[in-house]
Amino acid sequence: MSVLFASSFNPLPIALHISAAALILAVALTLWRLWQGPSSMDRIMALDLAGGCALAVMVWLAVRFGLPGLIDVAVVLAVIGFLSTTALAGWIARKGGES
Amino acid sequence: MIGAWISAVLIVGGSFFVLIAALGVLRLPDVLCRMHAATKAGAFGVGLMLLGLVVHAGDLATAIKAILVVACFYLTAPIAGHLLGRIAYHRQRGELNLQTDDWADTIKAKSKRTNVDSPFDR
Repeated sequence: MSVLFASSFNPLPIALHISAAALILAVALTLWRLWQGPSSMDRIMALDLAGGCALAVMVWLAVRFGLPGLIDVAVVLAVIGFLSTTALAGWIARKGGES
Repeated sequence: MIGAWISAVLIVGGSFFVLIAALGVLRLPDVLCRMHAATKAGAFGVGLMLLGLVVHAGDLATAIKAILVVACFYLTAPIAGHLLGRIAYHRQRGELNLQTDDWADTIKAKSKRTNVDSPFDR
């Protein structure tokens, strides 16, 4: 146990590998729902979650490559994700009809 | 060195919660259940990852921008979820397997009065 807390051991690369695998799997599952979703609401909701995944990927890149400027991209992505979801939901509600 | 451990745990936990959200979106049975998975677990995972970035970077500008991102995300996600859930309720009320349906009586009374049943009928 004390080996893990020795000052020469850095846990961050291993953590970044694990979280990269989890994020890739999450994006793949979300895009599968976006492709397959039976109704328009499913697709819009999957697109919203894909925006969240893109934000998480920006945070991952900022930590991995030491680019603190990417958090500005994250701010813009959060705002644009909300605007696109709201616009698509309003369009669906006004369009009427089935699905 | 303890800061590296904290940010490693936060980043792995955050991506784990994003993965759980995506898994729920893929596996759960209907629109409202999927929305429940996507909004809460996804927002929590992104918040944890941003906290990990702040611990890793350790300066004030990153912390302020991360607070800005979390505020945007947590203030706007319920609004988008509310809009989508409202539309889904009106479109797919028959196939949603609702346990309780408190809104149905209100909608029935209103549609008797105005003779329409539209999502924008307030």
